[in-house]
Amino acid sequence: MMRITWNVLWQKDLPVFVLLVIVSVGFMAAGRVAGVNTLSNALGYVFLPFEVMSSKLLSLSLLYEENRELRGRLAEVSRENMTLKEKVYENDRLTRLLDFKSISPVPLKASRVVAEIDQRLGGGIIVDAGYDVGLSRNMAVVSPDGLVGLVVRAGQSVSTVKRIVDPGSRISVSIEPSRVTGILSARSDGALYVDWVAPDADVEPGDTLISSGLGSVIPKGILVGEVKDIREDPGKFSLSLQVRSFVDFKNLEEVFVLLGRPVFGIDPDDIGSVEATP
Amino acid sequence: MRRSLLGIIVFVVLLLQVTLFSKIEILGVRPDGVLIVLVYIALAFGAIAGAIVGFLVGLAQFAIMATAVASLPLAGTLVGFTVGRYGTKIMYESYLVQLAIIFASVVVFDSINFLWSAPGGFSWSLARWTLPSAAYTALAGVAVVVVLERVFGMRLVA
Repeated sequence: MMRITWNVLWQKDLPVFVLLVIVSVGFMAAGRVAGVNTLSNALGYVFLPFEVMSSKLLSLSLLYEENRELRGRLAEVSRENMTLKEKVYENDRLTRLLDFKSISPVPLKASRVVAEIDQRLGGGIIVDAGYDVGLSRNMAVVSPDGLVGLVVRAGQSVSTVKRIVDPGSRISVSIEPSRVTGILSARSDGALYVDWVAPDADVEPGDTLISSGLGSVIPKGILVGEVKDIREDPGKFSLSLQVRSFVDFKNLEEVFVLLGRPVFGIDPDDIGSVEATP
Repeated sequence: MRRSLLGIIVFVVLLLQVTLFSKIEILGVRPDGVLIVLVYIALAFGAIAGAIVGFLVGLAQFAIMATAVASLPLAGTLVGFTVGRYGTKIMYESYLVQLAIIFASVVVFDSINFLWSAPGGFSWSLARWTLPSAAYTALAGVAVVVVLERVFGMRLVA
C-alpha cells in the first residue's frame, strides 16, 4: 500500500498541477471569456476541413453500402424500374427542400451538419456556417420536418446548435388545436415532455405542437412534433405530455438557420410551413 | 522533441475524436479517444505531461463545443495528473489493469463534469452515459493498443 505524504506530493510536478487547477477553476468561474472564443474560432478553422472530409467519407461509405443493396435488388426488379424509383425519391426530397426554402418568410441559410457533440459533454451539433454568413446566437434552426434547435454559439465559419432533444433544452410551445401553451423540455435521455399542463386541458394524442413565439427567441409557428402520450401525475394536479418530434435527429445531415424572425403571427393552418400571415 | 511529439499527439487525437470516434456510436454511446490517449500519455510521460495534456485537451474540447461544460479543463488536469502520478506505480503492463485505469479515468472525468452540470441528475447521468461510455472506451483503448502491438511486433505499454 503506497503511503501518500506531503513530501511525496510536494515534488517538482505539484506546482505545475496546482497552477493548472487554478487556471481551470478560473475558466469555470469566468465561463466563456473572449480568449476562449478566439481559441474556438481558431480551432474551428483547423478542424472544419477535417470534419467536413470525414462526414463526406462517411457519406461515401454509406453510399457504398446502399449501392451494394441496390445491386442485390437488381436481381429482383428491372434496372429501369429501379432507376425510376430512385429518381422519384430524389425529386421528392429536393422538391420538399426547395418548397420549404421558398415559403419561408425570412431568409434561410442552409448548412451541413459536420459533427455531433457527445451527450456526456452537453450534446448538440456543429454546422458549417458561422457569423461570416450572417449567423448569430439564438437563431432558430429548422429542417423541413420541424424545429431542430437554437444556435448557442456562432463562430466565424462554424456554429454550435443546441437541439431540442439535448439535455436542458427548453422551448415554449403551443398545442394545436386547443392552443394550450407549455414548456417543452428534454429529459436527459432525449425524450421530450411538456409538463404542468392543466388536467382539464383539451389535448389528445396526435395533437400537434408548434413553437408559441413566447420568449422572443424562436419564431412562432414552427412545427415541433406531436403528442405521443398523456400521463396524469399521481395527485392529478397536472398532465405530462410525451412528445414525438418529426425530425429524425439521428440522421440529420442538413439544416436551415432562420436568419431573422417573422414579424407577424402564424396561421395555425400553416403549421410546419413557417409562413407568416399579415 | 517530447513537447512537439505531445503536441502532435494531442492534435491528432482531437482530430480523431471529432471525425472518427464521434461517428462510431452504439446506443448513443461513443468511445472517448481523448481520454484513451490522455491515459497512455500520462502512463508514458508522467504526472506533469498528463496534467498539461489533460488541461489542454479539456480546454480544446471546451472551446470547440459551445454546449460543453466549463469544468472540462479541470477534469482533464485531475485525471492526467492522477494517472501519471499513481498509475505508473502499479503494474500497468497488464491489459486488464489498463482496462481498469481507462474505465476509472472516464468515470472520474465525467463525475467531475457532472458535479458541475448534470441535467438529468448525477446518478442518472453516470448510469446512462458514463458507465457504458467507460466500458466502451476502455475496451476500445486496450483493443487499439493490442492491435498496434501486433502490428509493430513489440510492447508499446511497458
